[in-house]
Order: sequence, then structure tokens, then C-alpha cells
Amino acid sequence: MDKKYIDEKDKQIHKENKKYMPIFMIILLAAGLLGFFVGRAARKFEISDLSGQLESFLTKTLIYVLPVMYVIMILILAAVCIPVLIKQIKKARVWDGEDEEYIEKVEKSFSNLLNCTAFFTIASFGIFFMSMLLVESSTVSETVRKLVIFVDLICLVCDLVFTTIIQSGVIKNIRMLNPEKRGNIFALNFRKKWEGSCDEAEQYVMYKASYKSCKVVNTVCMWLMIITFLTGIVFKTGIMPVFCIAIIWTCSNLSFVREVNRLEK
Amino acid sequence: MPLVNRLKEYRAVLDVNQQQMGALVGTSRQTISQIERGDYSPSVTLALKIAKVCGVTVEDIFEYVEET
Repeated sequence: MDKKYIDEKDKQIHKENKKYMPIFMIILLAAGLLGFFVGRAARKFEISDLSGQLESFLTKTLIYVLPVMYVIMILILAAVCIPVLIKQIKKARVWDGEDEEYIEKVEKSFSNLLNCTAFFTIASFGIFFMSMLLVESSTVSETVRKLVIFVDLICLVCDLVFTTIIQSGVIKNIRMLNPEKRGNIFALNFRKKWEGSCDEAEQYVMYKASYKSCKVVNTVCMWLMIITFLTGIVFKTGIMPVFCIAIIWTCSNLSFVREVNRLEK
Repeated sequence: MPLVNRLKEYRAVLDVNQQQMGALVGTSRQTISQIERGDYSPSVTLALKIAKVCGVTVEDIFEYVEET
């Protein structure tokens, strides 16, 4: 590179640094001070009994609330999502192959159904595992314990069945509308085949969305790390939550960097 | 979007719907729809394929307009 160009570029970057550095330093200092005071305040509020009281309250409340939430969720899945799926399948079957606005609406509904099932699956596993842990650690009667386990298991099975019905129904119909699409939802390599059959515009959307979601994960992990650290001090939640978030954060960043390196080759 | 196109007009000349056009150029109906709406700028390869199917040059279908 030309020396003159290097000197000029160096000067320009130095000038920019001078402009942005003080703001950056102030933000860092403010964040540090805020963290220090919040940490000290959290220590001050540390009451030996608080974690015990909170745990007892949460256990007593959530052990009944979670199964009810689970049942409501399954009812929504069965009473809303499945009828919507049937309606959209009927609409897709009568498409004349010409009306583009019509089929775009149908495809949007299919996409919304897939998003719903993804959300319900995450919520379902979350509720199921939390409920099981609460049942194990609580002092409720044997009857209540058995009832909660029974309801949770039934709901888990229902969720898996309904989710599979909806997802396979949606994928089957998307494949009918788009003959170029490949992949069977029950096959292990479904995602790979599906992605391979997506064209450049669809892949562009996927990659853009993935990058955005990676950025969101970074921000969320940073805040969760702070929150779990503070709750660790106040409520004695231990190092496990901080450790889990560190793992998720690391995995997200490592997979991103690995993929960037692979694509840049 | 600085890229304007006349894909819809050329598709009408060929008398094919978006699905058929997609199949002809090896892409999906949604992508053809997005290109026509101006929501997506196709790659050079896809633009060339579209032009070839329509029997015209890329410039006949796609036009770059300077943003003011």
C-alpha cells in the first residue's frame, strides 16, 4: 500500500477515534459505576430468609399455576391452531394458480402456524421441566403430586401430537404449492434438504434473520448475565444460571465465528 | 429501491403465471413475486436467466434508477 494513503487513513481513523472514544469511555465508566452500586445495593438487601421465602412462595404457587397454564396452552393449540390449519388447507386446495394475493395470504397463515408451533414447543418443554422440578422439591400431598405429573405428561403428549400434526400439515401443503421444495418433516435431514431447496431470495431472508437473531441473543445474554448475577447475590440462586447463560452465549458466538470463517474461505 | 423492472409485463407477454415463471428460471413463485414488487433485487445469475427466458437483454427488464 502507498505510504501516503496509509498516513492519511491513519490520520482519519485517529480523528474518528478522538471523536468517539470519550463517549465510549463515559458509557463504560457509567456502566461500571452502575454495576458497582447495584451490586452493593443487592448485597445490602440480602436477607438470609429471602431466598427461602421466595422459593417457598414460588413452589406453592407455581406447582398449581403451571399445569393450568399447560392445559390452557394445549386447548389453544387444539381449538385455534388446528381449525386454522384445516381452513388454510381448504383455501390452498381451491387456489386457481393465478390469484397471487390470495395465495400469499394462505402462505402467510401457514408461516404463522409454524411460528406458533415453534413457540408452543419451547413453552411446553419449559413448563414441563419446571413443573417436574417443582413437584420433586415441594412438600405437597402424594395425590397432588401424582395429579400434577399426570396432567403434565398428558399435556406433553398432546403438545407433541398436535405440533406434529400442524407442522406436517403445513409442510405438506407448502410442498404442494411449491413443487421445488424438498424434505420430509419426519426425516432427520429435513432442515438441510429444506434449506437446500430454498432459492436465493429465501436464503437471503434466512441468513439476514439469523444474523439479527444472533445480535439479539448477544444483547439478551448480556442482560441475563447481569440479572442472574444480581439474583445470585440477593436470592442465592447459585452459579448454575450464570454458567448456563455463559454456555449459550459462547455457543452462539462460536458458531457465528465458525460459520463466518468457513464462508470467507 | 433503485432497481425498477418490467418483469410483470414480460411475463404477461409469455402468458405464464408466477409459479410457471419461477419454474422456467429455476426459482420460487415467491421470489418472482418479490422481484415484481421491487422488494428483492435478483442476483446477476437470476437476472440473466430471466432475461434469457423472456428472450430479451437484462437491461430491457431491469433498469437502475439513481436515487435522488
